[in-house]
Amino acid sequence: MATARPCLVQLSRTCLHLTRSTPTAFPIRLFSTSTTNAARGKYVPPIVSKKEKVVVPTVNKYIKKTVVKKKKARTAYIQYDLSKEETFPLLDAMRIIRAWEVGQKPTSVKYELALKLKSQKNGPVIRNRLRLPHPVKTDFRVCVICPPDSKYAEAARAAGAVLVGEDDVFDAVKAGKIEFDRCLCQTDSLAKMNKSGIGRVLGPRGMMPSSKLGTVVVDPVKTMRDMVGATEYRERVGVIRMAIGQLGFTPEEMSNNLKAFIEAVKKDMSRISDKISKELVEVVLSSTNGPGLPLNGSFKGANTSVTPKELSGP
Amino acid sequence: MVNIAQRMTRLNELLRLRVGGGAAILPPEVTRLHMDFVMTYDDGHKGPRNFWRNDLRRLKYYNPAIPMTVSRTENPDDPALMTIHFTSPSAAASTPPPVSSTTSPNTSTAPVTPSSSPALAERTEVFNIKSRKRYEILEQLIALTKAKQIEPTEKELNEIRELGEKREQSAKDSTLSQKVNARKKQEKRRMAIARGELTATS
Repeated sequence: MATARPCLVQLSRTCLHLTRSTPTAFPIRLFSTSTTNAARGKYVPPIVSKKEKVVVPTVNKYIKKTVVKKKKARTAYIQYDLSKEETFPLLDAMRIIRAWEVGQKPTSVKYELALKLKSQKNGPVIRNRLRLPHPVKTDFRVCVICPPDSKYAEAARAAGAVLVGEDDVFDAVKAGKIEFDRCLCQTDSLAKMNKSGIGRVLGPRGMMPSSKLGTVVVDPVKTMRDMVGATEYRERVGVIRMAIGQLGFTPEEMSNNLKAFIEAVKKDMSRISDKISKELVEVVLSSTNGPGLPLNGSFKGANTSVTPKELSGP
Repeated sequence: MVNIAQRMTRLNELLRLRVGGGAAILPPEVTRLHMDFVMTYDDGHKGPRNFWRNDLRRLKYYNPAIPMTVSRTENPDDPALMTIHFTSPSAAASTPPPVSSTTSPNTSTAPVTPSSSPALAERTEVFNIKSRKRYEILEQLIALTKAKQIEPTEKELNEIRELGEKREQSAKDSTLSQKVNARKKQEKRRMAIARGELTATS
């Protein structure tokens, strides 16, 4: 530091000398805005300093200033007043839906059920799988990826898998020939499958086996048996929707399915938690192309003129 | 789910299922109706399609036990035909309606073709429906089957009238609110231009 001091002194001297050479004061007119403002013209708002810019807000005395409160986010789904709702007995609803779906392919048309719940937006949701007394879709074509000469392959073929093997499956899938709806993988072939690159084809279709989905298993045959006929349901936006029957089902079969499904959902609701109470509000029967008809829980109403037998035809 | 009022208004359309052409009860001798036509609209297949979408639904509503099938083909040169299967009056009284079920072997899940018609059909009537209007098809069908037409009741007529009035009113309301909204929008734009946020050309 001692060496630095003389240098600083020297520097300050030179600087001082320099400042003295310039004029000590600028004329005040240079800083004035009036000349520049005059140059800008009459109709342009003049440039004002920041201090002056703070203007008193013009208060309209006719408009009352209301304090805008931030709307509180709703935590539960909206519930409507159902007192004016028209409801139908099962037979009437089926008659209307069958009339609406006349001439459609009976294989592709399904009855659908929507269960509206009283539930929280941020709470847990109901999610489960169920085997209906009369399964809606039974003809799943299953593909099993496992070593072709293992005992699993034989068992899978016997259980009705349409495609069994390793390399044959990979080749078929890569060629775009996907003639199955579900794909299972045996744990021994997992590494080979991951290497084969069929995920690019099966992945977007949601058919790629993964242990997360429970489709990579030790015993594929057992899973096949569980899978057939079971359907998954899940609460979305406060409503559970599921296909509940084929169009060709008789009213008795439909009623069995409905009862089984609603009971299962009620059981799930009671199981979920003590703190959160869910409530079944509305049951609506619909179909692939048909209207949605709220059910009133009875099989036959006072004005029902059809018999179950009449609704049992193809 | 959708608002309940909206859903119930929509259900008023069920009235269309009860009232209109095709609201008729077929005699018990008729065992089945079958329609053949082409998927595409043009070339005279529009009438059959309209018939299927409107009148056949009503027929099915009033005759839930009679199987009514439709098979649509891709080839535009295919004919459009209506097939009616009849049985004798004595057999009609004794035979029960067909029952389909998943538990029984005789399922309805296979698409039905005219050749697989039930054995109890004694005779069939076939007529052309290509290049014909919806009501023409219905007229011929009713004449052939001697179906009993159902007249709408006073209550249903009233409901239809009310629905029509509602529709007119809603059309009026909609044009009115369109005008109001347009005016509001223009006002807003004018204010924005005045404030200098927008230029008049943009």
